[in-house]
Amino acid sequence: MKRYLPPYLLSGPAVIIFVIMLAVPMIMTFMLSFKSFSFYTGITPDYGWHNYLEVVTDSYFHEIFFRTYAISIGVTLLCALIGAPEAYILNRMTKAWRSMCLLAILGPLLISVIVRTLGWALLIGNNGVINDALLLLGVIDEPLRMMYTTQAIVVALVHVLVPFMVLSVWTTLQKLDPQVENASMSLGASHFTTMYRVVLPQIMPGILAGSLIVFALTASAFATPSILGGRALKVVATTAYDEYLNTLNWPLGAAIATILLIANIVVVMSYNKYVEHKYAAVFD
Amino acid sequence: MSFLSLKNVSKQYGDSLAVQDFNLNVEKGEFISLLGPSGCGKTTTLNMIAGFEEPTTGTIEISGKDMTYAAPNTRDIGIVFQSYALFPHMTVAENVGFGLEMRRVGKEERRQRVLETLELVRLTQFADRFPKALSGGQRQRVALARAIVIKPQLLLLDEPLSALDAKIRERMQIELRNIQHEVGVTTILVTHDQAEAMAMSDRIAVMNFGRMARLGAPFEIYEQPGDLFTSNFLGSTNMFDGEVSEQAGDVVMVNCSGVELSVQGNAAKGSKITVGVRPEKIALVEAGLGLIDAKIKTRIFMGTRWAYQLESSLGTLDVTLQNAGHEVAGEGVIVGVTWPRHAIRIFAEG
Repeated sequence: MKRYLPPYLLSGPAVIIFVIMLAVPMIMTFMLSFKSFSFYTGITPDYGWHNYLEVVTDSYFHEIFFRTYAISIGVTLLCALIGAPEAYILNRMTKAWRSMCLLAILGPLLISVIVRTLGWALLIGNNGVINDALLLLGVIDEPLRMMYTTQAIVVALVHVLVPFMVLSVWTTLQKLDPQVENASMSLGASHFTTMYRVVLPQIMPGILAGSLIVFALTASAFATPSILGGRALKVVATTAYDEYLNTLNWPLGAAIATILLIANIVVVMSYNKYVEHKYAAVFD
Repeated sequence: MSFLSLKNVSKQYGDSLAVQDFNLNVEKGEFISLLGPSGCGKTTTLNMIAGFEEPTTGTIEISGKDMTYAAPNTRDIGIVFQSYALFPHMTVAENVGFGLEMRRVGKEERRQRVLETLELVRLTQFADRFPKALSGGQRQRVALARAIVIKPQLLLLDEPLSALDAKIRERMQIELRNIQHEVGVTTILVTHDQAEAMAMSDRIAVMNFGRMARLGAPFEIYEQPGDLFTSNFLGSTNMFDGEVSEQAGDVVMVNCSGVELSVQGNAAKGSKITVGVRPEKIALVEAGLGLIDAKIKTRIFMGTRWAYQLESSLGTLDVTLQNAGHEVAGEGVIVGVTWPRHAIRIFAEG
């Protein structure tokens, strides 16, 4: 029996931290989501499905969930469209240029989310740099409304999440035999056909893996939608926050958080399964 | 009018010349090897023929047309890459059919031609497999099938056998040669393996430092290598430095470390030269009956032959003897060493 002990001892600290920091709060949140709340009595332990029923039946929440996933899909698609070519170009650069460009790409991740998002606000606000410049140049007569729009949220999220796509695609590109493009060309394929028929299918696993990360991070994003979307454009994460801290309806907030988590897990797992199934026969 | 001709082709990278003033004419249906050590410019030459790189100066003509700067996808060249460069996301049949698809060959004809080519390389039963599920030799044949199915006017082979182990490599050499004969396509092979080049080619272009060192049929350049580099690269050579002591007709006497050797060829009296004789040209006789005596230092049995290392007044001698089925002199024995006069060659001072 003794030789089975070391692995458990070694992984022990991590397991304890995991249990205390993740499992316990999750279970408590889950339990909380079944409790009741009223303004006069506060949270009461009347367990039931009513919080979930409220979220599932109220069109107010439908809209929020719909918006969240629409933004997630949009951000994911944009990240793939921007990130994959970026990774391809990055892969072809000389070492010096590549390090410089990599730093620029990873830049957003090095800046605090609040600072970065407020930076966007400075840029796109009604008295922001862009509006001031356009007004000064006489292109527009009154400020464009860019703050508190879905587009603003999407652009800001793409900005910070595109590095994940670039890194993910870049990893698969490094496994790509540099000669396959030459092989394709020698067989008579044009540059475009080579890209579309030979390179793209081979980096698809990287794009799909990157999509997964971007999608999951967007669906649970909080700070960016909160600052750039404001109170009017709520997403699921900001709604849960408001339920907790503004309405003080913790059980409802917990129910929303639980639904978001389960929905994300379902999407991620089925997507992963699809990708694995699709590429199992082709790649190692 | 040659089918493929490279005229004064040079390629410069920064300050270094990868290929210098390279001239080569290849006839239709010919099998030519570019042979040389790594870094000799053979792959660069191949890339320029394929169109992946442009020469700094010079021209490349295929069938009389100037193709120096033509895009690779317009050259109609089949290439087998060193890494095979198969498309991992396509089945064997799809890989082979890709070039036909690019040429807009109809579906039915495409299927037919893919099948015929797979038959030629004996891979019919693997048509629906992915490259991942094939062995090295099988992948190699897929790469070959993919290159020849388009009936290219020129076939380029870039170290196609280097990733295979020795036994399969020998079999593939024969197979590749047979298929090339059957298809009749003009072929250029790039390799650093002299045995491979000699086994497969009609002619070999030996390259060194970006220049052509020697061009000719395998037997011809093996027997008359012309320079030391070619001689050593094609097979081992016993070399002796010496001074010409006498010249009479087309025979010179060369004094090498005190031993007078008679050599066929021309060299001015008093000049310093290097002479060389290949290990398999040397015969062992009884002590005192040969040109010089030597002591057997090591004797290694290699199946088809014996490999000897002898100590003599000329230095260390490598000798190989055909295994004729009976015991031969062993280590420590003093033997006589001899060779026919025409077997020893003069090289410029080494």
